[in-house]
Amino acid sequence: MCQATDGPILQAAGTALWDITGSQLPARRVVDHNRAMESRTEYAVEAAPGWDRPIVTVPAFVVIAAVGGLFPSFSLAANLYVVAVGGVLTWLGVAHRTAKRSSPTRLTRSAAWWLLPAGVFVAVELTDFALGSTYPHPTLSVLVDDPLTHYTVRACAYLTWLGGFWGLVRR
Amino acid sequence: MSVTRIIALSVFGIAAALAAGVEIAARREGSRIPSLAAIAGFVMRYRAGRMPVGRIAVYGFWWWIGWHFFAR
Repeated sequence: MCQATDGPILQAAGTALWDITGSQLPARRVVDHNRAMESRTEYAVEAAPGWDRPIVTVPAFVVIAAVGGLFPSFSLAANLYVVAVGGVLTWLGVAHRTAKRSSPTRLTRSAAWWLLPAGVFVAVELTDFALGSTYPHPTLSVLVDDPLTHYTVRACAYLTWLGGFWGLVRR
Repeated sequence: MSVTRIIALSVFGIAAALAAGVEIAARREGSRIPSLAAIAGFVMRYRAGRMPVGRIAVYGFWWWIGWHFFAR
């Protein structure tokens, strides 16, 4: 069964196409101008469990992030919690326990645009790391250490990390 | 605040702004630039035999990010 989650179109591998905006009617294939990549508005559908819906996952992630924000850095609880949460999400992704979005089979040369922000980031990160990663020469870790001591910031950052992880799991 | 810190903060900001700009450009209709998620999806397709090497590598990286900022 195709599980409606988000986005406009679901494409079941080798089966039918389904509109996931709620109508559950067969949908047409979307064609856009990005010919070198699969359309990013299509989703490869595998049988998704009943809990794989935003109404379930979003509150769950909020609770997980709220709890995770309680544990200070360097504590055993913080280590165990990150390992456990990351382990479960990795297992869900590797074992294909969720619906998956389609991914491009090859990239265009335009993907090289991503080297620009990546290069700037790596350059400043490596420079500051080589200079000792101190207050005058902060790496990203040093910069965020202080804000992450505040519970609200930490919980929000945890939620962002979980959201990113979930996005990867569903790819 | 030292000048070097201000420079570092500025460059981090520039990197973030560039990333946001490329992502916005990628999401425009007809764009040939892949989104960051599409690049991650492409990397995760890589397999060595039956082993999903790309998927494990990407998950491992993101797992490490969480551990680095929330646990270490």
